[in-house]
Amino acid sequence: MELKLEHAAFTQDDFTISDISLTLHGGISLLTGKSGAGKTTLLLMLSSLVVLKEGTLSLDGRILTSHDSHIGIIFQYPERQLFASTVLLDTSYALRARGIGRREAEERAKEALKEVAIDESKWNESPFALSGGERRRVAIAGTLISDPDVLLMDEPTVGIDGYGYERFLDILEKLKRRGKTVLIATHDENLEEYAERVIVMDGGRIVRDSKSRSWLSFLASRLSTSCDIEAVAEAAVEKVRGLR
Amino acid sequence: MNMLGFYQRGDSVLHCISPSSLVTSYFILLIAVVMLSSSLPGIVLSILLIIILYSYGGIALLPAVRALWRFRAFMITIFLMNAFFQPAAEPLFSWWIITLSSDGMMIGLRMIATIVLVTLLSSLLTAVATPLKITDGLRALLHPFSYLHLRTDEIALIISIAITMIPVLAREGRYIMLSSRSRGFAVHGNKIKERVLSFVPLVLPLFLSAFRKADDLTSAMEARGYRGEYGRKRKKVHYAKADVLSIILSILVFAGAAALGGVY
Repeated sequence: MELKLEHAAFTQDDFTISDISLTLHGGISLLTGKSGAGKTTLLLMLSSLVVLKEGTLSLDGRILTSHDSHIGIIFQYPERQLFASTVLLDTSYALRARGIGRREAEERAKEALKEVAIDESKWNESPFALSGGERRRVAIAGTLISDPDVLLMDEPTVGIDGYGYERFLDILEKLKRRGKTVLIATHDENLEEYAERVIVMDGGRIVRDSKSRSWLSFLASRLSTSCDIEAVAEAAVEKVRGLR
Repeated sequence: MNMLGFYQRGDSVLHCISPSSLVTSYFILLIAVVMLSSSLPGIVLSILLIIILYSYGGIALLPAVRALWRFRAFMITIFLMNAFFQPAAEPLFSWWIITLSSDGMMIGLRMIATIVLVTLLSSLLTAVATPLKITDGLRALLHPFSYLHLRTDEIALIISIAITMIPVLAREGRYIMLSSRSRGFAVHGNKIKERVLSFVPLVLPLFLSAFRKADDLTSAMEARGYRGEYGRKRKKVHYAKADVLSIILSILVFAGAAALGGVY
């Protein structure tokens, strides 16, 4: 799916982004830049949750004027949005809110929880009884359950432990395999090896939009999953060509 | 910043007034503005006063007004409630419990004016004074009550923290709202109970967040050695001409408001 922001303007807390254009079409992209550069504001503009002051947001050519369920957003510290009495109920909320029956919603919630590696023994526990990393993954499952085609994430790796980080990388791999469009606002340079594209913001403007430069990380990640040295070398050469 | 209640750095006259003078002037002006907002000329005068104060404080008024615009639904509700439900001797229209009257409309307008003016004035205070400065001002103002064995220092601190937390929680509330909308939040059902329950995904995380913040703040204060206000040494405040002038001007505005109140 193609998410396109054209000549858009938006103001939040006296921070204005004006005349910004960005197109996302598949794959994982990173949105970086120093604090206050406008990353979260840009994510909000792309989320279809806010009304743009100027410009348009379209999904596959369709202009969006209100929130579209094909777009999911995971804000910073998503675990803070948890509210239900059990993990299963919380995860299935998005579907129940859209009128899907409880049984079907819970079945899909179980699938989503398996994807984010939440142990079955914890599905009927209170989400507040889980560890910080588990809570984060439950909250992510709560967004993934809607199966959005475009997923926007704001600093998803902040404040999670090593195990939680590994599981998050697994989730990214799965999203990538399914051909989802993912945009991650982050300061985490390690994520670059999973991204095809790096967008750098400064002062509310996109100052660089390029293919991921981390070809060494790319090579290392390919070598860790494949024994076919020739194929990996070929892929690496292609990547370096793409950078030129 | 167009978020109400945030401190904005500056070196204006208002930024330099001592805490106790600033808070005292604020309370005097607050009463004056409430008194003035009962009549149309008073509202106009209050608006002029607010414009002058904002320009002296070097704070942009427009962003604050824009931030208030977000509460328009709340204000329209207040106006409609007064316009249609105030009992009146000469109603414009009356049916069942609904009574539309010009008096009700005027009361509604005055209430909105009072809310807007008081919010703008309070926002100016928080824009020109840090929470610490407001606490010091409140402490000085409440000091006489300490002779009645009231823990005025603690009261001042609680009020100050509450003021500081309002915009923080408002911002957090906004993100929780957006997050829930992204997950398909909607008000469901026809029964009141169902509709109230559908707000749980918004209200519960906000409450939890407020408690968590309070808990974190308590721990942080204790970790930094806060053991209550008893026995703490404070800097001696030196009053300047601007302090005396601010209180005199505030009293003059108050006297003017009282006099106008008699006229209208």
